[in-house]
Amino acid sequence: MRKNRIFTIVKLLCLLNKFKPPIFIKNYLLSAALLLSMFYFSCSPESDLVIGDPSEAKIENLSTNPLAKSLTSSDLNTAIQQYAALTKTKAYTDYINSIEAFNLKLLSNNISFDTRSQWMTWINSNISSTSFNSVLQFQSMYDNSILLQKNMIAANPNLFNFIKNASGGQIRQIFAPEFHNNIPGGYPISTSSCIDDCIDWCDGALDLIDNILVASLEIAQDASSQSVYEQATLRAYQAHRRSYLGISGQFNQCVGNC
Amino acid sequence: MKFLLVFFFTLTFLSAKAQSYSDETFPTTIKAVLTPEEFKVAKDKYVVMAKSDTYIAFEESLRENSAKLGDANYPDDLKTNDRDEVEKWLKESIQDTKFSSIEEGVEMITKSSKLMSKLYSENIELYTFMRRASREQLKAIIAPEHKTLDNLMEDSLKH
Repeated sequence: MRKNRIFTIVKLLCLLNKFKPPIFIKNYLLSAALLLSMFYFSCSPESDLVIGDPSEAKIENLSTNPLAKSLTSSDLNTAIQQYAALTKTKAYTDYINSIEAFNLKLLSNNISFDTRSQWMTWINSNISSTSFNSVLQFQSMYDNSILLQKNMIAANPNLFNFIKNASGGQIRQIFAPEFHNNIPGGYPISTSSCIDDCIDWCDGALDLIDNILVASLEIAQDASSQSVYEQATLRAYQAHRRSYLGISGQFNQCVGNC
Repeated sequence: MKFLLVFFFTLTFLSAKAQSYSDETFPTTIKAVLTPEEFKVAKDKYVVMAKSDTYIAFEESLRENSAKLGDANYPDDLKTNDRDEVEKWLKESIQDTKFSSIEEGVEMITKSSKLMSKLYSENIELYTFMRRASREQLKAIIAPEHKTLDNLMEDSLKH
């Protein structure tokens, strides 16, 4: 199930950024981003971006200088905050739950396809290796996830536009909430660059918590009394240190899995 | 080990800006970009502060609390400088933390709060600059907070 997700996130990053998929993403990123790709995006050989149900896909050619994509620091911070806020919404939770349910029924099939028709072809031949009751149930759950995702994206056009235009490093920062409660392990991918990927992830995470500390201290600027300022500043520092501790544990596990 | 990133909790809390009341000793600031001179002073002062005994004690207190808080998050309106409030919260949440007792939690949490007050009092000019600085300036001023991979590995060996 996880590998299935892994493939999908790699696709998303591939199409959004046209860069070599970082393995750390394969190991640690989960949920929303993944399924964005699972159902909505695909990396075609021509590096086109397919948004929406592929059967009615709108194709945008992003081949012109895709590597130059980057958000301003202000837009990046906005995107980080909007994505974090998104993960607290019912639309997001419903969507993730639908994906979880779908993936659970795939059992150990580590497969992922770009289009609905490819999925349908596969399930027609492989339903016995899944726990779907019927092809109809598969189709219904698939379509439901697409609908939930469409709704989520439609409700957050600015955020997803930022994601589309973000650089690889920025994507990592925006998707940081996906690191919550995701324990690496169980699916180590040993490659010669495995430790490098752990280091890349760690660097990105450390930069992220710095940005959040700055944003938190900036919000604290509005405090109207010393007491409120001190409390807000203390919380900012405390959250930063807790995050740092979390990154430390995660990094050690990442390296341990290499 | 569960991954404990809790970044956004802080933002949520800070946005709430729970209690606001006037405080005559709290210098009024108007958000404005610091002058180049002020900016340099602020950066230098942060470096000095980060080497002070108070900061080192504060840092250690934050580290200890981070390890003990476990999965628990402070409620948005918890005043960590109020022993009664902290005790009340811990009575409800001790099971989510790694504090060995409510008393230990109260001591450790309020200790951080006291050290924060001390740090502020010893560095009022710096924090007043920080309350006026632009985001970019703020980021540069607090550069000593940045942890590198080397720091992380070093800290892992220490603790």
